[in-house]
Amino acid sequence: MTAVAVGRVPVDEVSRSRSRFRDPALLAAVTVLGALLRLYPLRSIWLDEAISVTQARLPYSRMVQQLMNDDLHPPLWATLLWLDVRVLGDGPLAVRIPAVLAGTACIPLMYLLGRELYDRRAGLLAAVLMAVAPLAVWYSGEARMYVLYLFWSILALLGQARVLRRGDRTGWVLFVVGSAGMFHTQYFSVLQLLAQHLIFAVAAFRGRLGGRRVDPLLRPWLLSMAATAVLCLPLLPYVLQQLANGGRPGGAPATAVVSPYVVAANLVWSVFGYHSDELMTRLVALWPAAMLLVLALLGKGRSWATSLLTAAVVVPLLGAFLISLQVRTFFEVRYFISVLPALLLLAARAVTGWLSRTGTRVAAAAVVTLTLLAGLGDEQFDQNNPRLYDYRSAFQYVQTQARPGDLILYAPEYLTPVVEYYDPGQPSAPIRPGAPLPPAPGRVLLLASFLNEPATTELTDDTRQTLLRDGRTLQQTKHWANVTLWVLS
Amino acid sequence: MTATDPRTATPAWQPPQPSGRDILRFRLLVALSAAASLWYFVWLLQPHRIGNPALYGLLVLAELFNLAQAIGFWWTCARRPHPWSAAPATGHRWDVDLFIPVYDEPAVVVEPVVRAAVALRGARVRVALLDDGDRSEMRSLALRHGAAYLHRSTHRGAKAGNINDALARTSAPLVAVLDCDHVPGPRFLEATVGHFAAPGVGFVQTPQYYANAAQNGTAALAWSQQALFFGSIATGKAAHDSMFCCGTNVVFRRAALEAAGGFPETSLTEDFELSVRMHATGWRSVYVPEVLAQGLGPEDAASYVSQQLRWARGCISAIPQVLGARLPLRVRLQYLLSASYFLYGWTLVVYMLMPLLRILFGAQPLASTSAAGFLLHFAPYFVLSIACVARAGLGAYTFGAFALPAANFWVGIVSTIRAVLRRPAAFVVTPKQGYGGWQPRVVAPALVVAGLLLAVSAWGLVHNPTPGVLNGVAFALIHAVILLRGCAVALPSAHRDSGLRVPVPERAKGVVVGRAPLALPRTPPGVAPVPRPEHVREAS
Repeated sequence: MTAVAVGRVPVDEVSRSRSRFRDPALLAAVTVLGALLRLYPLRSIWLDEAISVTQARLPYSRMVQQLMNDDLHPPLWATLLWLDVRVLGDGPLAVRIPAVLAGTACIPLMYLLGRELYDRRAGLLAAVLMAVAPLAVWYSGEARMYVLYLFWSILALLGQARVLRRGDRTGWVLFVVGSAGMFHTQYFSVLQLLAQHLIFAVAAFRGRLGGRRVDPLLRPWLLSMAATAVLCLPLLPYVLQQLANGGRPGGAPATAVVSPYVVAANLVWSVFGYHSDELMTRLVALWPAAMLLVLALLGKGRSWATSLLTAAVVVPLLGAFLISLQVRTFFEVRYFISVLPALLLLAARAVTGWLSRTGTRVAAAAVVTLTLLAGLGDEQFDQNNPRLYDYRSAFQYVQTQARPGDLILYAPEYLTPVVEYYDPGQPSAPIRPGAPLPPAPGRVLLLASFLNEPATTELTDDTRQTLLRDGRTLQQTKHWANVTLWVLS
Repeated sequence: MTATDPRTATPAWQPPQPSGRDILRFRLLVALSAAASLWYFVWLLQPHRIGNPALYGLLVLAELFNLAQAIGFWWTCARRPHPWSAAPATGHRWDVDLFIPVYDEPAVVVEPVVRAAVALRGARVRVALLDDGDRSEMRSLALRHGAAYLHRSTHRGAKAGNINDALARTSAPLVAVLDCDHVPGPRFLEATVGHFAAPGVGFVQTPQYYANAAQNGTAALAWSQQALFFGSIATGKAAHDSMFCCGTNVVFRRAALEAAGGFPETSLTEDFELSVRMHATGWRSVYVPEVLAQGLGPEDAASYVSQQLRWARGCISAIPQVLGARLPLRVRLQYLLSASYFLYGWTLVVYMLMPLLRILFGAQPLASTSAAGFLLHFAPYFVLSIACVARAGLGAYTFGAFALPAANFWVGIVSTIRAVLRRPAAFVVTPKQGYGGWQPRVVAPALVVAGLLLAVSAWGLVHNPTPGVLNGVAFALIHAVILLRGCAVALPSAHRDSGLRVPVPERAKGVVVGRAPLALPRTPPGVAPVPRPEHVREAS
């Protein structure tokens, strides 16, 4: 293209020069915005986080032992959290700092990935979308490993993009580090690794890599696999121990194939975040709108970049679906959160690549961003969000209401780490089916969560009836998000 | 003008030559599509799926029509093409009469065609400008380039009559026909006449290419449809020995034309009927997948719609003829697939009616308990069907090309009714060449339906935003978006001038379709038929 001269500097050079300064500034602003969104609002610690914090409070060797015996996750996140608790303490903000940092780092990484695969416009919009993506923000505010898994997955994609585009060593290093990091963080990462190696295999099979012959690819590819294996090797005894102990899968065995509703709901969650059941039913009912997307793809052609991203979405989804045939609850978006960067980048590419007019592009980018922001707002503030567990408010209330002699009973039993984390300062005990209730000279504060589980509801109802039959009276019932408290005097 | 004439530039497209691997991939996709279709229809046709019986019946009919068209599309495109080779060099130098029928098109459009025609290589060519407009300007133009000027005193039979008249006054064993806006490349005859060394070949058809697609939005969408037809579909039809004549860029064997009784002058479907007659009398057709002439696509919505009306009426009227002709089964099926294509308008009405009735009255074709099952069974069927079309289009077939015929759904309906009632079809819209303004009347039916869909959706959202209604709203919005996208060709921005517009005769107002050149349906289900830059002729 012929540049149009402005003074002595061609326009495209001016534009490039401007973007050289403008992009970092924009990216910095977007990153700061993303960091703020990840820090606020700081919701209550929930069960899984409380379990992680309880483990992190243990001596390191005991924590690892417990992970090997009772858990199914690799130890990297637990190790980071263990260090974090030692350095920053175990307050709600402190235990979430690693997630906030990893989640914030995803934003510039998305820019780099978008720029590498497409262009700077796609990169910038992808960074904006990552900054406000409800699912990314959600897990950046949770003291669990999912956002770190997200971070490594982007790094691995970035590495592969560099390899396929430039064939450089940095790309291979990023790919290996990202791959190993993913595996050390979340075993489900094998699904994304499978997708990425599939792409390498196809590239090798076709005998081309960025215009080169097979040989330049095959050797470093095999080396990258070997390097990843070496980096993951220390995990072997750990994994074997977990397998030997039959690590608790944490999910129910499959009784039926995952329904189309569950698949659609997970796709909605991945893009628009978590919402109330009522809203989700409505959003899923809008599935025909996806047909337009299919039609819009007509005539768009294919590129290796889009193929890479499509594989990074389809393979993990398909893999999770197949796994869910064994354990139904494994078809859950957090286990394949690695599809998020590819989804967001494909959306960014559609907006910046398909639309030719600047005004239309800006308008479309604004609509997409605002839609995600709306999803984020609803996700964070709607108290009917089924993923929201407001133990903090419940225990704050308990602390203000409890008197000497009062007893806190809670159900289900596995809520113990949460009770310990928020330490209400009163005697507490879980209620168990068929077990006698401990004596309470004062009032009984019956706290229950996970009441969507019939067993918990039944247990709580029985306990309340027993206490009423014993002559107690229901003084008060309070509800918070997914937490209910009955005060019986 | 010639310097900027897009018809003289190198064509930006050539029909793809599918490799064995391409065919294999397409067949694999077809196998998946067939499996998904079977899965969907087995699920759909269960008696307990029936919601509202009348709506269910309509839905099943619409779906079965589309399935039949889809199967036809797969069958056509999955056929391995005849091993392609250039026309055999026999050493025989053919005599060719090349006809350029003209009515009242301006010289700026016609002159490059004549100039290029007289310079054709590969045969002894005698170019004749067949002027039905009796203009001295055309006489001068023909003589200036050394072409014959033929005109007649009685202008019967429009283009068909014009060619038949010229046939009677010429004698070469081969006859080529070029529309007066189609500029032939120098290889046009070289690449075609050799095929007549095979004694059974009746005609050789080559692609129609819209050289103005890059300059004009309407022409671009029309070309997007054209590329699908003259790519995978025409290649597949040729492999089934069923390629039909498209009216221009075609070379006939005179003997075959005479055996078929010449161009049918009273038919609504002259090209189509001629093809049927030739195939019925045992002649074969050949398709040369190489752009050898470049023409101009319709440049505004009015031109596009008027052509669609003619083509739809002609094709639907031809169905009885196809059924009655003595054709081999596969050839008959190929013609039937093409002739019935325009009935898609009825299916679109059914599809658009469903969400409206669901939102307004809660009536739906399927039992409400089937909602999740519908998603599960319909989604793969839909996605794979679109994937098949995308694959066959090789990137040339776009969303806009999909939306354009959808916005003209009413064309097939009006044409069916007129064909059944045997009423002469007058053009409602008078296309204006190069009209650069907003043409709302042309797309009024689509705009009205889109407005209705949006209004009912808004009503549903306000009054009863249940998941069921929202599902209906989503369907309604899809239809509205598709219709509005198709209507975009009526916007001034779509009519950017290519610099060479296809003129429409001043006397086009009120012409009778029976005298118009035939439009041929040539696209798969949901895929638009291709408009051609032929001109409306008035009734004699």
